[in-house]
Amino acid sequence: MNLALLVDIGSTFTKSVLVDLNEGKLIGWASAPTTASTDVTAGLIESIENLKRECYFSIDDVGYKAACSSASGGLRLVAIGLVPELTLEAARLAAMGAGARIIKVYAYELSLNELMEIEQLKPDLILLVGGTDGGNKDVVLHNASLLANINLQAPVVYAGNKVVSNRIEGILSKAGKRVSITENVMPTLDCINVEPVREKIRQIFIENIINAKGLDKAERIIDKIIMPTPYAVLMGAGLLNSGPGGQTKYDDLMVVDVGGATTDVYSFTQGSPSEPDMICKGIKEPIFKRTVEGDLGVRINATNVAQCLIDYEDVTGIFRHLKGTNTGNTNEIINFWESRIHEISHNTSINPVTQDESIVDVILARTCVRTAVSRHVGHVEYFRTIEGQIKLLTGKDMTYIKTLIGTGGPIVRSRWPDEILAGALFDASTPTLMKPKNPEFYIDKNYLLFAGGLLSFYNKTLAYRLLESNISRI
Amino acid sequence: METENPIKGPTIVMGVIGADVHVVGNKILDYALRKANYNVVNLGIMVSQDEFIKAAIETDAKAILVSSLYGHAQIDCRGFRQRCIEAGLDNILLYLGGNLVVGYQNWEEVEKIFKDMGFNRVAPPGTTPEEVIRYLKDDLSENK
Repeated sequence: MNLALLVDIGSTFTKSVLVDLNEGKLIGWASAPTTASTDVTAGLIESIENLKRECYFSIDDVGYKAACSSASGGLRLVAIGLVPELTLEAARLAAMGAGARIIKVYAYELSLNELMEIEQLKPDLILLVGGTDGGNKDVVLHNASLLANINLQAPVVYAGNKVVSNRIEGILSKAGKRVSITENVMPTLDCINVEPVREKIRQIFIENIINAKGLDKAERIIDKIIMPTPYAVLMGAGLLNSGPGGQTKYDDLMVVDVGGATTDVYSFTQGSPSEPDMICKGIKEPIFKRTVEGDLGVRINATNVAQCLIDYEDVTGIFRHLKGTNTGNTNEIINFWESRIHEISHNTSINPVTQDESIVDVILARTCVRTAVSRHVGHVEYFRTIEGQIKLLTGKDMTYIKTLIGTGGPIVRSRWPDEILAGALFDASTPTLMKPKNPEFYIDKNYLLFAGGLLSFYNKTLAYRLLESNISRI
Repeated sequence: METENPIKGPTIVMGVIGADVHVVGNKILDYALRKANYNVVNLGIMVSQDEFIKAAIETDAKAILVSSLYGHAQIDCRGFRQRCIEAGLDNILLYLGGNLVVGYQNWEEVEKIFKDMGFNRVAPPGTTPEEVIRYLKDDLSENK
């Protein structure tokens, strides 16, 4: 019983990974297309059979089997809060940290139209917040009363003003709704409390949503699906950041995951201002932060990404840099670029064959990284005061991030992953964006962040060893 | 270290408005209000009107105490009461204190300007924290 089987039932592929539990070493991995439309077990079984052909093992030797999933649209969540910049923002941060896919957010008192909209959206889960402890209670009571009448089976997690928790539980459970109460996500204005909400969302994912999506059948084969995939990736990256016993060299860490449709950014840093004339504004974000850019991907959103380029210098500059004297003139490069983007938008499963096609993919991935990281980091505004200029920092100062890890096929399989990750760097032409100035670059060469996250629930030291041995410096 | 009384009085939002980094007076008033058992939400410096109002909504505050120290209060506080009404905080107490204007000599004139703008109390330079606490006690017990 010295093996671990760790599975990601993804939206497109089901990937299975075999780990030696004596040393925390990767033995091998395999994948198969996810069969979510019928029953995920078919894809799961095929993936494990492929793994057996790769690694020659018996299921009887597997002591720990666990899976994460982003199949069937992932964990679709609607958040309802009070002030958008305060409790609603805290709810968003907590939900993102739970690996959820936030499909819509609502502020203040819900209207009947908004209630009907939520019914049509059919979220998997509703997160209701509002009011600091002892603060506003009217809005959250109003919203709970409306939700009691909603025509939906989705469970509600309440993480608002604790003074009315019992009343809210009463209102919703009397109406036959499943409701879970947890600690206020913003108990006081200067405190964000995301951990209890994250854990509650994860439990509900296990208890309710897995069944609803037919993922429970997979539990006949693996012991349990224990979290949404982004949660597992966050746990893996978080373990690298904190170390199994609190010792690590990866404090101040950022991970960028570029895919065909989306780009995720995860960061772990205090984000305190790095300069003496900086003043912080807005809510204090927790140490970890996850953002997802649903409009940035190198295939499904290639046309959109191409529009994020500042100008064609981004394209010609990289071609010249990577090909040296072999590049054509500017017009030739731009024409090739335009026609390749057009080709990709009509065939999103196309793979690069020539060097020029690979370079187009580098530019797309780099632009995804540049734009996603720009949206993720904090930013400063300059103000003139009678004492001179000061800088107001909203969000986190990430200029001193020390480690940047790239994951996702477009980065890991590229010949030039360093060129792609360079998109994350601080840029003097946009000095208000607090992007990393001088991080070390790594790649997650076997896409094991999710596996490390799953394994960390079994043994943190082994999981850390697995993760550390699978990130390579570039 | 003193233990704070866990059962607190009404919530007060306070801060320094506008492009101003004076913070010592803000800290002194914060300390005095906490000792008088108010539930203090101190937004610090460089606070905009909207930030005061949003914090008051979220925390169900009974009063907003605005400090302004560099003479531009007439501009920075323009429309404040109207914004409060718009945000559903019709009856919230609004206090303003500090170096509010440049050049006026007559305090009664200054006080009238800001009371006409919708502030319940207007405090000149030299107002002590004890006086502020007395205003709050009087005004909040009337509103009960």
